[in-house]
Amino acid sequence: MFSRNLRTAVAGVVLAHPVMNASGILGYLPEHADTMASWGVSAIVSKTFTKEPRKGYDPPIVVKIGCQSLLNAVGLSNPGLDGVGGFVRSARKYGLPVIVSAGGSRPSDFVDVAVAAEEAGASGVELNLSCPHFEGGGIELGRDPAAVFSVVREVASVIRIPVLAKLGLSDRLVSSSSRALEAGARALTLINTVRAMRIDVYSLKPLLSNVYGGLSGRSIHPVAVWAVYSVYRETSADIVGVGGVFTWEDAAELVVAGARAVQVGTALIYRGPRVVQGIVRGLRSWLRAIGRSSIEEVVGAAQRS
Amino acid sequence: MSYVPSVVVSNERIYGKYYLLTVKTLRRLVRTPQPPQFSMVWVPGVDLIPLSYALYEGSSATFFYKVVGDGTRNLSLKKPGDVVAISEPIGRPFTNVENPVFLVGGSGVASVIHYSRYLKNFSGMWGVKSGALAEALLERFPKLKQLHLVSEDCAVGFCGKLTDFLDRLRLDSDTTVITAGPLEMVRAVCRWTRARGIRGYVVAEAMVKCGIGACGSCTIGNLLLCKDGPAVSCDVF
Ligand SMILES: Cc1cc2nc3c(=O)[nH]c(=O)nc-3n(C[C@H](O)[C@H](O)[C@H](O)COP(=O)(O)OP(=O)(O)OC[C@H]3O[C@@H](n4cnc5c(N)ncnc54)[C@H](O)[C@@H]3O)c2cc1C
Ligand SMILES: Cc1cc2nc3c(=O)[nH]c(=O)nc-3n(C[C@H](O)[C@H](O)[C@H](O)COP(=O)(O)O)c2cc1C
Ligand code: FES
Repeated sequence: MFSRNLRTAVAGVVLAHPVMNASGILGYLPEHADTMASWGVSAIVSKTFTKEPRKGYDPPIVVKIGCQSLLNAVGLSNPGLDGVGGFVRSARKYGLPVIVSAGGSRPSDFVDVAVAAEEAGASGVELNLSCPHFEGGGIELGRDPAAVFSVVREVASVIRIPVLAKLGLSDRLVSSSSRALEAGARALTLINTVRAMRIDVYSLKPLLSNVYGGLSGRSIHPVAVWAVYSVYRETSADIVGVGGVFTWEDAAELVVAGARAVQVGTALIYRGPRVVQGIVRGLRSWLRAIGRSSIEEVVGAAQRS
Repeated sequence: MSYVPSVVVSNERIYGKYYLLTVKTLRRLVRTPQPPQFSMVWVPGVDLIPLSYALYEGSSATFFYKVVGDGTRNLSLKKPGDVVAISEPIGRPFTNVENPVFLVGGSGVASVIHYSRYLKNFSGMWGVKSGALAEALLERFPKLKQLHLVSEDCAVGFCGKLTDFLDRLRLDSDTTVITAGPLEMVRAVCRWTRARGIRGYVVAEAMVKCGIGACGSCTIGNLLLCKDGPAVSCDVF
């Protein structure tokens, strides 16, 4: 269905084209896998699973704001370890690589989820070291290069499938990235949502029950481009670029900044699932227009110019 | 979901734990709510409550709700002039329905109030525990008189539960039954429509948290209530 020039590989996982879904839009119940496969993504990425089930925050947990962006503090609601196997097995029916996102506060939490993912047949594990509203985990770990090293090291030393470290915006992003790679991460996913908040000026209350949350969508795209560009320049790592990918141009921008694949989250909400196929088609035309024969040829091309 | 700040115009207890809330939005909704779409009503700093639109006219939205827990109790304390916010309509309109017959219980009648603006003639039954509730609402929405009443306290209409009277209905084969209300009741109605080969839809309820298809909390089988519902085929029940 897809011409060969869109094939790519991240952390050794071969993808028919560069567009996966971003963790967090559905992705924790077996039923969700059917919907996600219908989006046309090249790999199915789960919601972040934690060791224990999490109810998440009380609503409001997501607010649509201007600029085709979302503010969310879902609170990583998920069924916990027991849900990993069911989701992975259901997603594997579609013959696509399945990447399980794992979260936690301590290295052993991540290890437990990663082991369950491997046992269920996942192709890779993405460590969520970047959620901006998960106390004791997420970005609180990701902005500390030493913590990133120890989480990645523990996980990478017990599973054979590749580990991707998902990092977010912080002033230590480049050093956290380098430490993740040293510890055994085969790829980096950049970036998560960016800590943010909105306040209703009539009731004078924050819109999210958690007060602050993470910003995603078009308004963070330039931040994601900067993050991918900076980290690729320093590390030449395999990178999955995430943040405000709505069009093929957005995806292409991340690729030439250094990403070998991209993930799409908020655009699925604003544009609907067909956005994925639109990006894939656009990328193919783009390669033709610039006279290149494969995505791999243009990864990081902006670094050289 | 995007929210529109709104001011409470009235929030009247019409009977027991049942209230009618009317709010005026401070800017117009981008999309006009159509039945049986719903809104997330935000009680600032307290809760977010999914409620079916019962009316939307000009920039006024009306909701009919029952106090069942903390969120609805806090909502019931809102006074005229207080600020809340309501979301743009959520879910799909389900208005192009042949020969609709409504079989609803309790606050499940909210979306029938909304349908009654779109349909000249309709029929069906509304089951209530107490006839006084039906009388209070009929006074405000006379078009609901097209529904047969069933009351458990036998004060109005047929005496008993709605499901006791299903077999008295004479429905054409092109009828579409739309049911809403307590789970036990909608399940019984769906069993009944299935047994008779009649098309049946439930204006369903589920745990709605994000309202935009992201969080998955409203999953019913392979559907998301906030995207694919709230009207879902009886086959799912
Ligand atoms: C699409 C939709 C439309 C609805 N429309 C109306 C309406 O027009 N009028 C009306 O009175 N009610 C309606 N409801 C139900 C209403 O949202 C719940 O009664 C309300 O959220 C309860 O909140 P609470 O904080 O008061 O109670 P809680 O303390 O949260 O719960 C009290 C009880 O209500 C149940 N409950 C809580 N949330 C829900 C929910 N989302 N759905 C079903 N049961 C729930 C709980 O299991 C518990 O038994 C609708 C629900 C949905 C999903
Ligand atoms: C509603 C929502 C839930 C999310 N949940 C997760 C999650 O569980 N784990 C995670 O790593 N990222 C999560 N994210 C972040 C996305 O995976 C992505 O990194 C971010 O939204 C930026 O991409 P986008 O602009 O394409 O949405 C979530 C984002 C949204 C909007
Ligand atoms: S309420 Fe979140 S997906 Fe429907």
